[in-house]
Amino acid sequence: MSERKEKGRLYEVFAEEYLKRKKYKILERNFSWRKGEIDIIAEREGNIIFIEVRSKKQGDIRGYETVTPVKQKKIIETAKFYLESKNLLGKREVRFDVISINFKDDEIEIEHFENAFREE
Amino acid sequence: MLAKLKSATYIGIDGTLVDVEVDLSKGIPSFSLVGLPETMVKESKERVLTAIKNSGFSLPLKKITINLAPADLRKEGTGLDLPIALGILSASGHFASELLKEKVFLGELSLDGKLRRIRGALPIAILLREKGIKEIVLPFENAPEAGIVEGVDVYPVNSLKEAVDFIKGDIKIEKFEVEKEKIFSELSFYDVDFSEVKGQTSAKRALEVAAAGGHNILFIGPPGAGKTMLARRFPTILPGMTLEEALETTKIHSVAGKLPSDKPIITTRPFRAPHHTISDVGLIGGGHIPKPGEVSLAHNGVLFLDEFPEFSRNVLEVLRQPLEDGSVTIGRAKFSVTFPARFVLFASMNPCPCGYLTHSEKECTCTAGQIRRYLSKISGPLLDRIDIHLEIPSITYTDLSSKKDGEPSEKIRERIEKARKIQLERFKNESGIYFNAYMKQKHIKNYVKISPDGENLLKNAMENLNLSARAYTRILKLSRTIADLDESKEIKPHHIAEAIQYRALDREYWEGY
Repeated sequence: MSERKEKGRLYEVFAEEYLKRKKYKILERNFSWRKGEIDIIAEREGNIIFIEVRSKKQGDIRGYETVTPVKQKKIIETAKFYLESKNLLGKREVRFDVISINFKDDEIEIEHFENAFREE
Repeated sequence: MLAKLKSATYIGIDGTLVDVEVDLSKGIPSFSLVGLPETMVKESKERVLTAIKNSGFSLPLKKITINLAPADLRKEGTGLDLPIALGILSASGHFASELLKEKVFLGELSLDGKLRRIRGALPIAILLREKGIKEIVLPFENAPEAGIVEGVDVYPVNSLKEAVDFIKGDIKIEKFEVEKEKIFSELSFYDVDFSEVKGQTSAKRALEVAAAGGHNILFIGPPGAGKTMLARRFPTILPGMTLEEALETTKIHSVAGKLPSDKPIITTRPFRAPHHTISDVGLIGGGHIPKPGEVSLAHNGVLFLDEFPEFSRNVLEVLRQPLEDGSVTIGRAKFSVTFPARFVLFASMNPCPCGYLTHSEKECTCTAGQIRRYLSKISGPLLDRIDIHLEIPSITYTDLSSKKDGEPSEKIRERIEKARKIQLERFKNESGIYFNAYMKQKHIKNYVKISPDGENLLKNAMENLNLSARAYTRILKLSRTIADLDESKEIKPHHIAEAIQYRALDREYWEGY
């Protein structure tokens, strides 16, 4: 496993821990198909939540800013595929979140953006 | 979950109802808007979602589908923001859809949920009166404009939150009352007056005749003679507007977005003075979605074109339709729009490019060819539609130094109001004709009765002054107005003599070159 991937995995573990503490039920990790991947799929109060985990890159760019419209589209497509495969499409309310993880002098800062984007 | 409510938009200067249907369903959260929305309406998506969020409501995690019916009508303007937002909130369970019935909602949202002024509130309120819909909820700034219309209760709101609270009955909003009498009784105030004009008595008299009969007028004179000065004072002698006229003019200004925010309704006749670099679309109206041009903004008022020949040829030629019909029709592939454009054309020009052809002292430096080219900018058919042509002489020292004030505007206006009343009485059975200037051949036959000595004078003038047939009808119309100013039923020789003066230039200028 490359260093980059390893780091990414580590962030996802942080995010997962954070979500569990917030009473989210984790349904899937790294759900992928040919059109894309979703880091975490969770459930809370009957809603299905698709979560993209990002880490701070460099300089002033925040993690969540790197979820570009192209990436959003991939996530939405993947979410549709997931909902259809589980026969949930049109039955549950759905949300797309972004969790951004930043390291700040050994401290971990987690920012959670609920309902971060929707289908155009 | 489905919510339905009524809103409205406008085509040209007329309002039209729009049904807003909002459906929320489970699925990937999205927002789709169907029903021929134009760009402004399409963009409402971002405004609506942000405004809902910033008003303290949560965005529904649902697939939002919005339909604007009738689907074949182009939806324009930003007024649909508020109904769309209310529809979403109602469909997501904030209040029952039934509470939205029997009302029409209008308003543009800003990102913080406040409501902004929209265009076309007056024509929409007039439409509601026709359709028998009693209540309208709209932005505070539009309330005075819509409140003018009787029989429609106007409820002004400041924000989306306030609109929701009002619908739910949590707060009470008083219906907006306009003090109509006050608006109309306020005398129009001008900072200029005819009493300040020294000399130029014949020009002043010509303006009086033009204002009384709705005649188009052309002033020709050297620079500095006072053409523009006179033009500025022209509105001060125009008769007051009737309520119908005021509403019609305000409708046009309302859809053009030109209504001043402190004035809900236009009660003084508009005076439009576009610069000569104006384009034909700017003057006549047009655009992808037709907007009224200067001729329509001058409806029931005055269109002043200074330096008449400097306007480009095609701009001047498009003036012919409104001058003839009193309206402008702009055709598009799928629809056409008619804007009213009944105005008094007031044009002014120099007699030649250098300006001094008729000056008493200065020498003109133009060649005959230059003058011909200059004058040929004004085509015959266009000239044909201008009843009064008057030469403005350069002003003399004795006039300027005179201590005597001229006649004040108010006095002149009184005479004009009387003459207009006579005309309204005369044409009360003729549709579309209000003033003498609009008389057609058959009306002239019916209404212009000349005394026998007058006939003789006219016959002599026609023969000796070599006047054209065109000039003949103009003289008849003008003499009718002059007699009306005199409160005389019959047209007497001196009325005709005055009218002939206003046509003398046919010969002098356009036929000499």
